[in-house]
Amino acid sequence: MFLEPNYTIHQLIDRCRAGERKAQELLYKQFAGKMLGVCMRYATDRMEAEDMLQNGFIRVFQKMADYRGEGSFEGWVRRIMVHSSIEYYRKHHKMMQVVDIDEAGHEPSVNPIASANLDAKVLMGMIQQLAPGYRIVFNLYALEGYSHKEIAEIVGITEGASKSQLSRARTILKEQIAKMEGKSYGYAG
Amino acid sequence: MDMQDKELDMLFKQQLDDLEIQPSAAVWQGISSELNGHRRKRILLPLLSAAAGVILLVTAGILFIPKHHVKNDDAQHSNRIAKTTNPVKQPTVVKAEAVAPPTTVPNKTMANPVIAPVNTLAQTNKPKTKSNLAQPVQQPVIENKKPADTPADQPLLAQTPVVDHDVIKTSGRDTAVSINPKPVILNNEKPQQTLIAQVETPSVPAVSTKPVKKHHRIRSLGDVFNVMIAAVDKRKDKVIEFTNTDEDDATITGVNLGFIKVKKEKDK
Repeated sequence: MFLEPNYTIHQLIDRCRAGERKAQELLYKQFAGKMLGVCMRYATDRMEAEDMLQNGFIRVFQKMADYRGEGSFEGWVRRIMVHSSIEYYRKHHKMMQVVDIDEAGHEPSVNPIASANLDAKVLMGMIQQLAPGYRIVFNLYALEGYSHKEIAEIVGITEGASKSQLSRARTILKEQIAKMEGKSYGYAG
Repeated sequence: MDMQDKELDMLFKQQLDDLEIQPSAAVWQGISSELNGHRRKRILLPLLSAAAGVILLVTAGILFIPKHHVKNDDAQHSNRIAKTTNPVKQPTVVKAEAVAPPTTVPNKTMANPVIAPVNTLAQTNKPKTKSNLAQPVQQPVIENKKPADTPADQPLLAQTPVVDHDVIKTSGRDTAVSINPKPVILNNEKPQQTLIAQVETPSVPAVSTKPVKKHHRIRSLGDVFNVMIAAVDKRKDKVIEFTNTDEDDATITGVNLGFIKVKKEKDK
C-alpha cells in the first residue's frame, strides 16, 4: 500500500540489500505498522514497543542478505521482530522473573481508549499487564504458534517452565476478561 | 472462567494478529541514524585503533626512551659543567663581587689563578670531555705565570699605563671596564687571592671525586643489569656485562660463557 507502483517487493528487497536508504524507508513504511502491532504485544508500553521495532528493523536491514526468498518476507521480518523483542527483554529486564499470580493480576489498568478497536486495545492492555515471562510465552504460543519446545529454545527456559508460564498467563487473562466483561456489562447497563 | 484455553488463544489471535499501529516518525529517524552510525563506527574503529597505537608508541617513547638519555645528558652535563664551566664562571663572579669594589688589577690576578687550577683539571679530563675545553685551557695557563710575578709588579703596573696591556691580555672580560678606578688597595687583596685560590682548588678535587662514586651508583640501565647479574654470577667476568658508563644505556661490553669469553676493555 505504501509501495511505489513501479516496485515489487523483491525489487525493493534488492535495493535494500544494496544499502539504498530510500528503498529501506519504503520497506520500513510498508511493514512498520504491522510490526509495531507485534512488538506492542511483547512490550509494557508503546515506548518500549517502538524501541523493539527500531532494533528489529535495524536487524532486518543488516540481515537482509540472509533472506533467500524462502517463505514470505513478512513472516521473516516478523520473526526478527519477535526475536528482537525477546532480546530487548533479555537486555532490559529480568525476563523470566516469576511473578505470583496475585501480584501480577490484581489491577488490570487497561488504557481507556475509546475507538473502534476497543476490544483489540483492551486485550493488548491485558497482555501488556502480564509479567514479561508470562507475556512472552503466551505470545509465542498463542499468537506466533510456537511449540513449547521451540519456546524453550528461543527463550532459554525448560519446556516445563514454558508450559507452567503459559498456564499462569492464561489464568490471569481469563480473570481479566471476566472482569472486563462484568465492567462492560455495567457500562452497557 | 468457563472459557477454554483454545478459545482464549483464538480470541487474542483474532483481535491482535492483524493489528496495525503506526509508529512515530522518531522510529525511522532512529533506524536511519543508527544505520549511518554503524557505517561510521566501522570506518572509525580501525582509525581509532591506529590512533591509539600511535599514542601508545609516543607515550611509551616519551616515558622510557628519552628518560635514559635525559638522565645521561643531565649526568654528563652536571659532571662536565661542574668540572669546566661552572667553576670558572662562579669564581669570576665571586671575584667580581669581592674584588671589583677595591681594585681592578687584582681582578686580573684573581681570575688567572682560579682558572688555572680548573683548567689543569680540565686538561686531565680532556680525553673524556670534548675538545672545546682545550682552547680556554691554554690561555689561562699562560697567564698563570704572570700573576705569580705580579704581586711585586702590581703597584708599579697599576700606576703605569702598562697595566692596561696586561688587562687586555689576561682576562679581556668585564673586568677591563672596572680596572681603572681603584688601583690603590692592591695589598689587601693579595691574601684574598691566595685564599680564594685555595678555596676553589679543593672544590675542584671534590668534583673529581664524583667519578669515583659513579662506579657504586646505578646510573644506567646497564648498571641495573650488571647488579642483577652480579647477584647471580659471582665470577670476575660475568656471564654478560653491560657498560656502566653514563653514555650508554645497555651496551654489552663482555660475555663469559665459560669456553667463550669476550670482553671489551675500557679506558678509565
